[in-house]
Amino acid sequence: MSSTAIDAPAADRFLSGPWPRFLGRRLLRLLVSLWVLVTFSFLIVHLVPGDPVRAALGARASATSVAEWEARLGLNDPLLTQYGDYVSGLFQGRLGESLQLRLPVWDVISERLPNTLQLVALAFLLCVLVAVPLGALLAIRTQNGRHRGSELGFTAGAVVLTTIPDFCLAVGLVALLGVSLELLPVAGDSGASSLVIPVLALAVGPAAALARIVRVEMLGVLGQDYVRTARAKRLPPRRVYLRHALPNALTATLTVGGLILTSLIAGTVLVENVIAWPGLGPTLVRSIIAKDYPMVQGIVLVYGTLVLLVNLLVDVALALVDPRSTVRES
Amino acid sequence: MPGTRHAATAAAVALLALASGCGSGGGSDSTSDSTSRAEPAAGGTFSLALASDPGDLNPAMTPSSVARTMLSLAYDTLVFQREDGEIVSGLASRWEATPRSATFTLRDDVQCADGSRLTASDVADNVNFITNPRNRSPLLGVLVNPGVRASGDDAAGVVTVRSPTADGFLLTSMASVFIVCRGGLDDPRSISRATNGTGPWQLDEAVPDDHYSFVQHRGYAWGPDGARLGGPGTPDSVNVRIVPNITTTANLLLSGEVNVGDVNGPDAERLRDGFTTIDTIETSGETWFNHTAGRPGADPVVRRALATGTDMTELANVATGGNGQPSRGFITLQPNQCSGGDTVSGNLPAFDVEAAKTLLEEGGWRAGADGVRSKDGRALEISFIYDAKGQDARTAGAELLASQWEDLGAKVELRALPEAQLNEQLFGTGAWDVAWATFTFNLPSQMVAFVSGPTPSEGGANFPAIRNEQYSADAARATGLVGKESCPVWADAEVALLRELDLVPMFDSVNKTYVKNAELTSVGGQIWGSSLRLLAG
Repeated sequence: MSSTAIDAPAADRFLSGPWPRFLGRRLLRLLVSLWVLVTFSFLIVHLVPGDPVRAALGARASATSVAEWEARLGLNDPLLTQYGDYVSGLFQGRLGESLQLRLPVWDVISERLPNTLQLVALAFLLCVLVAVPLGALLAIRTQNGRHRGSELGFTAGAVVLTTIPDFCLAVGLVALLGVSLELLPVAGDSGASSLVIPVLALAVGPAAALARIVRVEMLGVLGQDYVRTARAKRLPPRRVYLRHALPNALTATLTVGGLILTSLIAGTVLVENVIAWPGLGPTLVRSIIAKDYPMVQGIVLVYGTLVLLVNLLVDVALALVDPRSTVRES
Repeated sequence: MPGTRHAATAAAVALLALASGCGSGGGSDSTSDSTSRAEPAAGGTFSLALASDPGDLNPAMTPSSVARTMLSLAYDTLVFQREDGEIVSGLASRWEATPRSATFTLRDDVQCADGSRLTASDVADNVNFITNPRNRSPLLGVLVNPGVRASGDDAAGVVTVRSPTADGFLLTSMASVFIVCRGGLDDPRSISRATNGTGPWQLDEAVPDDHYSFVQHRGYAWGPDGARLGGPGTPDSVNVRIVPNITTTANLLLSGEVNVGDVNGPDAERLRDGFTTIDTIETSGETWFNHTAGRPGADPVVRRALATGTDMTELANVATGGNGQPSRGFITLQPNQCSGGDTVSGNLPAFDVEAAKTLLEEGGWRAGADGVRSKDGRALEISFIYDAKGQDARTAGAELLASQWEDLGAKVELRALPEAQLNEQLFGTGAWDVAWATFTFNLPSQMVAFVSGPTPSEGGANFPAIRNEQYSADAARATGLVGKESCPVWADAEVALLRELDLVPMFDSVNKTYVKNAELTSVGGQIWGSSLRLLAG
């Protein structure tokens, strides 16, 4: 009884606050985006000029094979029926069958997706672990116009690293660390050492960009009155920077981090191809070349869903870190 | 006749796939014993890079050269064929053959990977599976002719293969038919992603589009000419890695992470030292004319003028990046029982631009104000399609050819198409005039369906719609002859095509397979699994 008495006002406060509306709007936006994504991936097959099955199997394929695959893909049904079947199939975890590999699309994706996510997660982790301390340290070191050399060196280095495309960096790392020095495997997944090149290639550019943003945000925060007050109270510098300054500098960092995470997902497509990583990237490229539309559909759907989910999570995380944004939104 | 149509289409599918696989570097289709002075290594993993996933692993249902290269590790054949064409023992210890039948006596010690014993009935059922039209095997009409039937006497261990018509390559064709064990025959789906054969290596792990791992078949002793699996340098396992990117393959070879891989183009420059190579001749400059009525290629004068107005030496240099050579015939894959001949030299017109223009002029093709010739109100417009295969040099070659033909008064539209679209044009729409399409054969009989008989619209594979009575007569005569006896007649048939310039082999290119710290024997794209050796690096 007492707990109910205590919880009821809390629940009331939550329901009457900005959070339900915020979460509702975000979820609705996610659902609409997912619907657009599903519809787009469905239309991929139908936007292809000519007969997609004939294109995929080749003109040499017998009419029987083509008819068999058209029936298997349901391409002879009315468009709305096909759309309905496609959507209901998604709810049942069915993404169709690969024309090239003759395997269920989901089997292929579920086997390769963890490898892609592994790269994304490690690259993002490396990016954050390097960028946040580096950016904060540089901000502290260069605040009030001190150590101009460090500032110039950092800025120039960060700009250069940011402008190198991840796949170019991957090629360079393979040439240097794999082929020339023979320190690391040049391709494929043969253990933990195989992760070094792709993770570095994916993380270096975003880490440099993120470090610049962290530095700028940190510089802004270090000039705020409350930081000056904390210093005037002779609080230990570590406490001033870690407790008072850094958390307030992370709002923009989190926003950019979300964008970086989504760009990392996209970046894996090329980097995985460079190093023949057993992720979704090489399969996507080969499926596009082979006109394996069910596979392309499935992978596009998975990539798109990942990006949408990351965006949702970043929005919620931002709202938690900076509740004012929730209020403004609502 | 639906069955006939189906067989022809299947044959087309299979041979094209074989050819395209070679073209994309999917396997070494030449013969080679790579050699080295290095000491044998103590075990380890033999790693082989293939350019694409093999797809379906059922050997009776896949025409892919990539798949056949890999499956040759896990499946044996009744007999094997050496580089020089000699037949040696495989699953069969003895054999006798005539153009209408072949009898094979099986070894009595052959064990399948699942522990079962291979019987004569099992072997016969393998052949009958391919020739049963209901199974729609793409190998029907390619490796085994329609109508061939096999029977097995389990007690005597004898397999008899009979052909309804004389077939000079009946014995040779059995060197290409992989034998599946009973478990796979009874449940074909079980071998779509696994293997069940008698070969020296058995598939242990399959990760499609990434890698396939093989382990030793213990006790294997029925390899080519009685070869056993074992001895110094024999690897513990074989790893087939799927590496579509040529640069990555070169990197893997350089770092020693793979032992064998195909590399062509600029990346080959990086592989000069420390490698042995296997060279494969590809008919990459075969120029096909569309003979359909109304197409420029239907006019023999146009074909002769275009061939005469082409500087094939310069073209070969440009289109292959200096890695080409003049064609000597249409059959380039080994083992080729009729190899050594040269049907091309002397049968193609010499390069002479003025003579080419005169031919066109005399043939009624008059130049218009815009320089483009026309006849009876029809302009000499040529739609030229080709597969660039990712090679810039090939595109440059196509542009050179177009410019040479435009000098003669033709208007050439170049279209570089991906392989799938190229085939769609050739076999489907027919909307093309001239094409560079790579077809690679090791038996002259494999070519017949593509240059004679019904067209695709009639259920056949004769996509250029060639009607050459001399070729058809010679081919029919050659089919009934055995072995090398047939070679002069097959050569006559090829010459018949060349004289009419129905098909012009302008140049060949050399596909290179690089081998590092290893030895292997590969014949016609099939690896002799018992020959794999690792060498100390």
